[in-house]
Amino acid sequence: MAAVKRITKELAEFSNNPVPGVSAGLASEENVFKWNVILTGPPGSPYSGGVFTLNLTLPQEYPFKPPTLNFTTKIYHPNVSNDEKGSMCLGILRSDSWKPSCKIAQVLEMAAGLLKEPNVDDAVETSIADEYKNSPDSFEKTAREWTRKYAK
Amino acid sequence: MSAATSFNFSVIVIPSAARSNAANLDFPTLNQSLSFALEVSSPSDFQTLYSQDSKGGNTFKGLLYVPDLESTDPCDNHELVPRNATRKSNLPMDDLKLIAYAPLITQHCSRQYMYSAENDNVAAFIFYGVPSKYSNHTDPLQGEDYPFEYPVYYLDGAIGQPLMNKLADYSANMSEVYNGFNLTEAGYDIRDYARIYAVISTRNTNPMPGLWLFLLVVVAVLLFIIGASSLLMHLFQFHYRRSLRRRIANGEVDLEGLGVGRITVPREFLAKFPLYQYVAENGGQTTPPRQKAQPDTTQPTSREEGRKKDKVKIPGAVVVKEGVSIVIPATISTERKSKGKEKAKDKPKSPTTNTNTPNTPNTPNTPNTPQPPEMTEVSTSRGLTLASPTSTTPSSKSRSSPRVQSPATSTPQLGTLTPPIATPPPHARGYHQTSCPICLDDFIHQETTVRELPCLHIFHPECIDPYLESQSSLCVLCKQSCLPKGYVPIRLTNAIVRRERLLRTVRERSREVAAANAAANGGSESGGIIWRWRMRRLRRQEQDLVGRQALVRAGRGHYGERARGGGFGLGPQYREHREVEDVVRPRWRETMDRIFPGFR
Repeated sequence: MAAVKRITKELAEFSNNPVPGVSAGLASEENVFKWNVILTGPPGSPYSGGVFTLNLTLPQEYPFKPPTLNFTTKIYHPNVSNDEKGSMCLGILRSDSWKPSCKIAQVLEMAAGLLKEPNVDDAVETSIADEYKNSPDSFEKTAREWTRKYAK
Repeated sequence: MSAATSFNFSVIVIPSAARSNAANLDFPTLNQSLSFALEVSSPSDFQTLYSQDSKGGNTFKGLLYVPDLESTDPCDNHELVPRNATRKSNLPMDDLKLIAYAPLITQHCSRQYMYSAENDNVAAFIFYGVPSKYSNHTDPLQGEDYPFEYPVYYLDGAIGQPLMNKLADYSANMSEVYNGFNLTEAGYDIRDYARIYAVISTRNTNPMPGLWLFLLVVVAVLLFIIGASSLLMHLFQFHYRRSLRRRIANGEVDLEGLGVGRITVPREFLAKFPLYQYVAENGGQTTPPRQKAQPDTTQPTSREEGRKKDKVKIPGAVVVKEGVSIVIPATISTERKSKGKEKAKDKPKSPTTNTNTPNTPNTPNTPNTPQPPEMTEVSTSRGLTLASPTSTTPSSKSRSSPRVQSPATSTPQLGTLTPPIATPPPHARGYHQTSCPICLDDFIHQETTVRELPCLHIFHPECIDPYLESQSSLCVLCKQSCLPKGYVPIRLTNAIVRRERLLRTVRERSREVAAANAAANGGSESGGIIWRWRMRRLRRQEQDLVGRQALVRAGRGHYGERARGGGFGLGPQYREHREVEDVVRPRWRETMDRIFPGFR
């Protein structure tokens, strides 16, 4: 099975060459399609000090279909839906811009980058995006509070 | 019209005492062995001369008699009519039902009989034919409008004359009638009346009354209208389908963008995409590239065929086959290695050198290729840049290239005079891609077999083939369609035509709305009432269209697809809605759609 082969390869590559601030591994040994990801809040951001767990789900059609990223830790972020799913909206994860040449490591790198710098144009939570744009102080305050509350 | 079907004549006995129920003539018929009975049912024995629309019953019943004429009338006492034939005066009562009976002698006599019968209020009149020495006409009125209310029938003379004689037999009292003695012996009263009773059965010859005919006409007209409009609609739909097919073939419509299900690459097209042995772009560090360029000799013909059929014109492909050695001389390749690194990435891919020759877009094999080959410097280093003709068309270039290539590369002094050389195909130059984007395995130089798509991206055939065959027709890297231009991979249905039209209106309207918005922002908001009203209408339409756009886009099932005006979860909702609409359609709607494809 081509998908399993590629995912295994990517997993090996990732463990040899980890992305800073990101640790990832299979959720269970027998299923390569589910990964557990842990992001550490980048210093200097309102999420610093927080530890965020995510589920990375790879479709059976991987790498032709994009993976999905869900935050299991609640986070106050314009690009993460504020519901029990916690779906993360990444430009490269949209199926029309997804390319099979894109690797999981790159996806995780982008996710880590979004913690540092939210992308307002691609926001899921428009109200948080507005707050981030118009009153960054109050956004930062809430984000910090949520990080302290949920991500420690 | 009520035409006679049969005549029945029999003898009935009317008791002299009977008065009350006499009008119905509900009396027993005499035993046939004692009297007489006659049935005439052969159509050749009678005719219907005049008949009125039947009022009530289909039979005429009455006692047979010969109408009285004026005693001065020459027709009276005619030798054909026995003196003692039953007359009105021989009948027991006045108010009995009667059927007149007379020979058809002259027209005058017939008419006299009929007037007399009219006075007697008969139920019907029966004429019978007579030998031609008395008369030769069979129509008592001969063309005049029929003035009477009773029907008139005609009996053949061979039956009619004996019947007249019988009528004479049954005119007197019981003792004097035919076989009278036996009848009185049999118990009939001598004062009773034995008379001939006639029953004329008719049938309706007009089974289709006017109302039914009218209804039938109405139904026929309706059917015709339905059929005609259905035909018209089908014609229109056919026309729309054909024009959509034409536009798809012209490349004006993006089929994948229509979201009409999965478009895949059929196996026969897939087989035509060339397979090459992978050649690294800078892979031949020691060997000159021309050796790499040598096509795999096991299947060169099929490759060439495939290219031609695909209309992916790669002029260089011919060159490769005929004389690979001329493509890139060894000396140049070493040159390239030294200089290639700095210049390659952003240079146009013309091997002819000329940075000022804008032939890049003309070379058909390098459209939008994301990996520019590093061949540019080949001739730059040799000073060929100067004045290659820029006006040559791509076709002339590609045609002439095989012939002139050799001098162009080997004798650089002539460069100014020779037309530019077509770009050699990537497999001759070496590929920019180093690994398969799907499995991420590296291609091995001169070993791996790669599938080259029309967009010139390469993959392992085992990686890309199943995807193109079952998932999509787009290259996974550049999203360019792998199907040949003009190929319509799906059966175009009316639904697709509708969807395409909807999408087109959506795009047009959103442009219109955008223009209107721009105008509103630019101009003063305090325009007239009409202007403001138009703006409001346009905005409303825009909202509606955005919703519909989401509906259309939802068909493609993107993860995270968001409608502009809606929320995050709009896509799936709309998709569900659409599926419900498409799948659970009642049968009558389906039939309706089949008959009237234009409604909806």
